[in-house]
Amino acid sequence: MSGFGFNFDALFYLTVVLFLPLVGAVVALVFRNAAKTVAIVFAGLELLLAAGLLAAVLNADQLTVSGSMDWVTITGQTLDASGGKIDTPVALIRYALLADPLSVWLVLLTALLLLVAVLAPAYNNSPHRERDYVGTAGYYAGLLALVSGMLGVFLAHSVFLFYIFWEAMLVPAYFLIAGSARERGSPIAMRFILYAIGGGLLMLVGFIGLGAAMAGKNFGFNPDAWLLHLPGMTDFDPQAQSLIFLAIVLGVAVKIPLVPLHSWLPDTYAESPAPVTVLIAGVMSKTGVYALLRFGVLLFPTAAQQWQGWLAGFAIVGILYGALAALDANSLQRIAAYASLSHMSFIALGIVTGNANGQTGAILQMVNHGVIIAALFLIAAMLERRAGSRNLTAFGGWGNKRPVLATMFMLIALATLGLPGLSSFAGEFLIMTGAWQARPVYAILAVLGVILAAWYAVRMYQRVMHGAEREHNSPDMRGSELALILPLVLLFFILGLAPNIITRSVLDMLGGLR
Amino acid sequence: MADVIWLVPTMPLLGFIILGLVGQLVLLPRVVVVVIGCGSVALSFAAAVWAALSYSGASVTDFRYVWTSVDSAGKYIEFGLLTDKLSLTMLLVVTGVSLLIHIYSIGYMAHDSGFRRYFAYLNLFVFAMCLLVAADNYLLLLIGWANVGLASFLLIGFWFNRPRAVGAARLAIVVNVIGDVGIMLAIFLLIVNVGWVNYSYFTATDIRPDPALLAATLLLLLVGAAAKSAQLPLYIWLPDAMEGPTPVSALMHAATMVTAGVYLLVRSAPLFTYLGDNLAWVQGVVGWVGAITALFAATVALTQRDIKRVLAYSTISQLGYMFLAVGVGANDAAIFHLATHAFFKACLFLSAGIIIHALADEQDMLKMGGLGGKLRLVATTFAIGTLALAAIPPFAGFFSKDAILEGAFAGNYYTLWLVGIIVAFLTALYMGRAFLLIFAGQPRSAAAQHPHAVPTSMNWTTAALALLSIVGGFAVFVPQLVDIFRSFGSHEELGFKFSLSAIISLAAALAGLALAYILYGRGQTSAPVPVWLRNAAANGWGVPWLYREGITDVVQAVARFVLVLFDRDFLEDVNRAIRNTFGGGGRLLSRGETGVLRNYALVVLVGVVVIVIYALAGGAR
Repeated sequence: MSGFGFNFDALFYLTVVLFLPLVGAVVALVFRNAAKTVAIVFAGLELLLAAGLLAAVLNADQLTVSGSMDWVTITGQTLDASGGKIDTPVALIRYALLADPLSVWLVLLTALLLLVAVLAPAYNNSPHRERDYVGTAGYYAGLLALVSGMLGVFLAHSVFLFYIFWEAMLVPAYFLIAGSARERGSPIAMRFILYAIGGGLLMLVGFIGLGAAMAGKNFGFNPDAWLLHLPGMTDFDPQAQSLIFLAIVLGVAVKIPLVPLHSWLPDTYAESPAPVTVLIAGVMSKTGVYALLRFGVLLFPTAAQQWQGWLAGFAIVGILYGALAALDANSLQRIAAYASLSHMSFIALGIVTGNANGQTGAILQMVNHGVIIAALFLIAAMLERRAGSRNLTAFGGWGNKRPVLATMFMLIALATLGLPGLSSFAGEFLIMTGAWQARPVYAILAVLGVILAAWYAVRMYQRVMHGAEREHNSPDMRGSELALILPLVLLFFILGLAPNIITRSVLDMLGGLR
Repeated sequence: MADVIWLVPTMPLLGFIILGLVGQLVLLPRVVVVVIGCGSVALSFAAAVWAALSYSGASVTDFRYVWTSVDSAGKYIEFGLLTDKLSLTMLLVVTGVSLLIHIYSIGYMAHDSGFRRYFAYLNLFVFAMCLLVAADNYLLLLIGWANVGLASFLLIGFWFNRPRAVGAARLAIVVNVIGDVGIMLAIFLLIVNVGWVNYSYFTATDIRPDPALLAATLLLLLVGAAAKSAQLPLYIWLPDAMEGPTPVSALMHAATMVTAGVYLLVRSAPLFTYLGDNLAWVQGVVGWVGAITALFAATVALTQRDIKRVLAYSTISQLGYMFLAVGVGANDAAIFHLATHAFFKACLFLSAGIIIHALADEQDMLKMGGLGGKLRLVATTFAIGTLALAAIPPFAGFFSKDAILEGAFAGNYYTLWLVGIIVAFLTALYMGRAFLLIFAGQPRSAAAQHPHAVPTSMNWTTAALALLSIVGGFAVFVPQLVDIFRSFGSHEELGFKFSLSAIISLAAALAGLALAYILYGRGQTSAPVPVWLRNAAANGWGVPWLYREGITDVVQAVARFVLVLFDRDFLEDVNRAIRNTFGGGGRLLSRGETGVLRNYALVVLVGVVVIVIYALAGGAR
């Protein structure tokens, strides 16, 4: 049987990339007093490995690095040449990992943001510090374990494995949010987990339906049926396809999130400490759009086309809804949360266009958004620490005495509003080109989000840095803070001036898939 | 060696990086700031001159690089720098005027604590503007375009502790982003229509773009141009932009940045040729936007008290002339007027800067008066600027404005021509009024009685621009220059002759000046005009009110609705309802019945949104 190729090297490397942070989590729990150091070391190693994986993917044939092995096997029957039945061992579940340009950039982003999250100060702004768990060994272990869960989603090459990681990442996320949120940790975490589990259940229904539909097509228990992008794999009843697609999409829509399934988001993003938000807003939201692309639109192109109007409509509502809410929000973190909602809807729009420009732009924008939102939440925490409050009314005229802080905040605000020349412009440009190619009205409506973004980003900046100067003794940006923010800001420029670094490989990949 | 063109944008970029980034970490002495800030622009100007002198006459694109892949594997959007007659003309005007205004700023900003920051922003502007005009395609143009908008935001809000400056800066960037979005949509249309965004594509032979899509493209480009060049209805940000330092008003909000829209339209002129007769009205739209704006802004300028706001409305009005020129196909006249306007409007603003500086930040013309004897040099330069703007021969504005009106006349656009004549009369009237209010009669405030001295560097740079305002128009007598302008496209050969149009426009201008003298010549401060009429004009004929009531307030109310009523209250209720359903089943129903009226309204809203989405979805099939 073909398809059972066992490529030890690739599989081994992918496995190390996947589980290294989890190993780090265990080590951090063992060496409790040096948990932060352990976390930094493992995060640094992970970044190197991710860079190695990127190099391997870009140099590989078909731009793909993959490997698999049987995990659970059963005895099945196949037909031999003469028509008689013979017993054969058949894999029910396989451990299959794959990295290609759609996923490897996200793996790199995840590793980068993990390093940022563990290097960042704990930003312990909670009024209940005495019972706070930010900065403990459990906290660092949680960050590392969360990353392994999310990497699993990006690297999984079978539906089964994907679903395991999709659910598993919720466990560390729950404890991180419940343990470290600034206020009302457990109800916020509870709402987050209920929404996530609800979405997960819908997705599970979709996958079971997929399995059933394929069994009906006499695929039997052929394990390759669980793998992705097999030609003709979704060659079954269009109506069933449509329903399965819808179940999966509703499941991922909770995680992206699409309006109106987003009500877990503002509190979760705004009340978690900045490093946790960096990983949740920066990476976990990407698992949603990634799944929308890989398990939704690419797997069921016909159904995706059929539902395109609805999905694009909800994405556009999300773009405008998030931007409008950000325009009226009164704390830095809530502005950032709603801005993130708006930008994630942009990415979803790019994916559902169903064309190469929209989807390439979406992948590029996933990386851009991860970098920008991380920088935004970090600088919001730095500002909050100085003002002792996150409310916009606590700021004003801060630009005079804090030029470096003002410059960095300005650049982050400009990246948020998509200034041409910075990274998010490139992503939004490709997404909207794709949207226009799908239907011009998508681009015309989505572009209103760009105007609103200029408005809310400038408002956010001006309320802090401009206006009558308030007497305040807080210092300018420290060297350690600058060291955290500056690499992210440099990425705004690099990805804005040379987006081809990413788009070329993604376009080649998507071209090959079609 | 035309490829020195890369030095033109990179020199000010380097200056910006040194002043803006290095300067934040190391304390740069003032003299270093001056040398880097002005030196980088001087080098940029020198490079532009060199590029122009060594220019061979052909259109060349250098420094290509792949920005991103697009559409399918192996297809790219490529950036490059373009050297041709139009880009060189613009680069010379931009860097030349920039250099003079940088030098002027040394004196004007001498006592400001933000000296380094000021020059850093100014260098950023020059970089972005040079990128805008040297770009060989619409996407790179958009990057320059948006970054001049950023520089404009930074400089309007330069004194960011003043609430008015902060609001003006925000307004400027939001309106500019509306323009950016117009260009973005135009670019999508180009990609869909012709699959390409480079200008050279449209001068190549044998292409057949869809005329209807091209018409839409041009109208979207017009939105971008109108936002940047402050045309109706997107002019709203420019009068407020006067909150920035006066040299900034001179450089960006009069001489160079706001002319980018005119440049964009002239650059896009080859697109008009593919429209065909059915869609020729698109070009007419450009002309009418310009004509109406010119008339509108001239009437508002008549009523302003703030010297800078008079000049701001005058700029809007003159940009309207340039749009009118593009609308009648007189691109050569549009660029010619762009260049002469850069000289005399910069001259006027710098003169105004000297007056404001001398009067300790007084900008109200009703508190001036009698300055003619005390500030002789600036009275002269302001007079030259006034005569040039009023289009009195032999000053520069006469020749360029005449070329526009001549173009309209020769192209049989008689209505547009008539509007142009009326505006010529109004221009002379409001400039005559401004001049007389400032310099004639008796001083009307203590500051006006004892003006301060101003630094020499401010005087001689203003004088240099005054000189250019005198001789700039003689370009029509230099055949080589006329040839360059002609290459931008025109009906009528650029050049001066005593035609009927010239005589009538000169008569209109003289009549305007004469009326100004009758009304204000003996120290009067107001003319016998009904109060309601004056107030209506002074308030911009209600356009700012429409913006505030119709757009700003509405968007903010919707934002409040989304955030507070929907996101906070309604979704909380939904969450509670879900919890109650799982907790104690029946409570959901009773809750629905006794629910607040507001929530019913929200349910209706949700219904509307779903219906809109459904309509989108339905159309997709």
